[in-house]
Amino acid sequence: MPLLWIVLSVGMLGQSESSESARENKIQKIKIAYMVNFIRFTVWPESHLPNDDSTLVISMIDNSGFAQKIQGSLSKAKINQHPIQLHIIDELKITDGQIHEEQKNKLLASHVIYYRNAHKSDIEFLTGLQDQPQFLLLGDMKDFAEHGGMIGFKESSSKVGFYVNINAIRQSKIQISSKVLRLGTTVR
Amino acid sequence: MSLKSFHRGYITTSLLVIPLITLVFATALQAQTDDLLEENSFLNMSIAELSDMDVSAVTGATETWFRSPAAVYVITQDDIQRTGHQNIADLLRMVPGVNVAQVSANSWSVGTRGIQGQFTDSMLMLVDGRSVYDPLQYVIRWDTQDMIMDDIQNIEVIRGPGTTLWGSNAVNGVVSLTTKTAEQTQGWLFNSVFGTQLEPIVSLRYGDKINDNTHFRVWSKYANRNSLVHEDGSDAPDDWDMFRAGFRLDVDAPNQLNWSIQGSFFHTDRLGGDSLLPDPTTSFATNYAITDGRISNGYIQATLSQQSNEENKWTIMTSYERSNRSTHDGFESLRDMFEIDYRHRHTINQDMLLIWGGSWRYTSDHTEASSAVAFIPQDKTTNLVTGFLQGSWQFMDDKLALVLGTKLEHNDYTGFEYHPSARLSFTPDINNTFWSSISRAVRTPGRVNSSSQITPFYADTGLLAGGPPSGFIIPIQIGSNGQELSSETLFAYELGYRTHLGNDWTIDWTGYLNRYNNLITTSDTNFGQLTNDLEGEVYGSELSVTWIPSPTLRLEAGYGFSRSFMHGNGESSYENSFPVNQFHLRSYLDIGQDLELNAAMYYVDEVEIQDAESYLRLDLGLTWHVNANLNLSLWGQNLLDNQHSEFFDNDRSMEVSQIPSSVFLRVNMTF
Repeated sequence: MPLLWIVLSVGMLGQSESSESARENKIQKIKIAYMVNFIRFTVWPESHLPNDDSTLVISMIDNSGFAQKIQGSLSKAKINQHPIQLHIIDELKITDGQIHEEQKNKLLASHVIYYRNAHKSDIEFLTGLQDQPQFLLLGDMKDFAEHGGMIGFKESSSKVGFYVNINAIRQSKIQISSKVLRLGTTVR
Repeated sequence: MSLKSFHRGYITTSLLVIPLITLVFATALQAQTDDLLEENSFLNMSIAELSDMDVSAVTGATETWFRSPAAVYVITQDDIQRTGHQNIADLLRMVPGVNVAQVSANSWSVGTRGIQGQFTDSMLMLVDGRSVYDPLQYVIRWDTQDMIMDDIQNIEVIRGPGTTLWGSNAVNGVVSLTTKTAEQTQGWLFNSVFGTQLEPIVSLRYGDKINDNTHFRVWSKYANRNSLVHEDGSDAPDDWDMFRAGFRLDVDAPNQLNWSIQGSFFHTDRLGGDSLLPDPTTSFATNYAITDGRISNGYIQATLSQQSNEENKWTIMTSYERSNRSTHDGFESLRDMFEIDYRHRHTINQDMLLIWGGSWRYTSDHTEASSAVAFIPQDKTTNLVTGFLQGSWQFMDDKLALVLGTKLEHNDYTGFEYHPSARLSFTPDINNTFWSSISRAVRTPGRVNSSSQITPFYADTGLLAGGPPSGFIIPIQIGSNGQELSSETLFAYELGYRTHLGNDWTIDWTGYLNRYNNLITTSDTNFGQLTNDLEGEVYGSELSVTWIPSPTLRLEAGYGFSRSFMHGNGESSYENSFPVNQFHLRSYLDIGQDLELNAAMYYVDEVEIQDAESYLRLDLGLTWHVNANLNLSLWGQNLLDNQHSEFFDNDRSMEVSQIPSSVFLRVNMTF
């Protein structure tokens, strides 16, 4: 029973929303905050993110409207000195077992791919984009990490946590600090 | 004006003036609020804070470390892995203002806020909400606080009073350890640590799921720890081992109902130590004895919680513990403890929250006296009944928060006690928090102060009278001798400030003034008589600075300053019982994907009355992540000197145990 939950308690007050949508809004904000933390503690290969001020590209696969909501604010942000560029992809276009070339190029240029509500088969397409991916692959789907994603969010009744797939991360070209990995739940 | 008067006046004035200054300063800072960060107040939180965020409380983001109106420090699993400590007491070395002094290989004294005795008696410790404070001896026994280190989720340490919610004895601080859920510990874990002081520690754990909502783990750990050394390099007689095993079952039932059952058993009959036992045949003589202590302990705990609707969340926890302990001097105790604790959080409206609850603790003990220690009566049953109410209000668009609360309790030693506190925080933007608090806290005398009789030696009545020996020898005893003792009381005043400077720096400062009354001590005029005739002031400051210059490097420094001034009987045993200055610096460096280089340096001032010289300690560790399932760590600890002492209990031992430099290798496998 974490003390901060109950003892120091100024908390749990605040916004006036008191509906399921308020809860959902809070969860999404927490996930974005997680994503910012993951980016802060990730190192990309120099060939992919050459300079301290190189633009960091986040591709968000989402057709819920959430990505549009945060696009404005994220695009104004800098993380570790990197300006942020957000690409929104409504859904993956797959024909004959291949992701459309234009989408594929966008995804390969990305440093972070955040797939909200992914399908299992789509994860395989994403992990198959490169033998050694140069992007951080995040997702919301239950068992996202178990199915090959690198970090998958998990929601319980009261907390938002995350699973990490150490094998998938080790097979990539990116380096994520163990500060991140040790605080998540490892899946095998 | 005396120095003491000056200090008191200076501190009191500061406590009045600083909040005004900070309020003005904070108001000016409001203009600097970043639009983006204002939109998402979670963005400045660490991963550990986000993991702790309760999303079932749909009303905001303020239950965080950064906004909390108390001196809180959180030790994460990453800190545990990167500091190399292999016991829970040593982990607390990284908390600014907390002094950890190792007394022997199996005994630690942990203190904060300027007061420290041989044991940890003014701090409370909770493990998953269950108190592990020993109700017989009124201390935290650090030798029994152990588990698989990988299974710790985090350790939250509150410096300062926590009695409003947790009751008597959380006078100077609370240590709350939270273990991982069963879902977080799935699969096999094998962990082995072996080295010059650890020979070895072996842990094995298996976790699995029964269905998607039901997870469990079973585990065991054997730790064989080497002795410390005497000044001449010879082994101290304090080597020890301990075997423990446990389980945990977690169920996420429908309707947001969660329940959990966990239990553990541990045993040792090799708790090495020495003692000076009184010789009943010779005046003022003691006999030196080396003996092994013995402990058998088991507990079971069940926790049920539910977010019944948007406004209400409740938790009920119940536990039973049986402990059998035989100390080095031959004193034996058998203790049973049953506890039930209920807590309820009720959101009144968007600006007001109530937390209330109650508990009942039943303790029964049986003791067997040794030649040095006796409890009178030999058997005792006690009940502790408590209730608390705390309200939180927020003003100025959540920027200003007020927390008022009190705990009421009834114990069998001093009757009714109350523990009120008032806390105020001001968060003009997500980069700055100012806070202050006033608390009244109480430490009750308890079984050890009211019932124990310690016999340091026997004496001839003739010699005692200043004449020739009479041949009639009586025990000289320390105890309350039937005199009722009052509770020790504390009025604590705290101020704090936290700030994020850019994305890379976090600074956390706390200042405090503690005024103690009725401290229990031995009388200067009536030898051996425990009295409440000591009072005093302690003031100090704690500072933590974190710098994360790159994704692969994190640096953290901590500083603690403390001065104490005592007046009355036995002041020498309290005053200067704590280091005036403490400092530490830690560095976590990732080298590529597979290597970590971690370092920690600790400086602690001398503490004369404990024969502890100042020391500088350096720990260095290299970790190699061989693959996703295997990592190896090589650690060197206390690398700057061959050995040093941190605490000498000269009432019980002939020679001080010193902590030697050491190396160990850690193998961690998951599959």
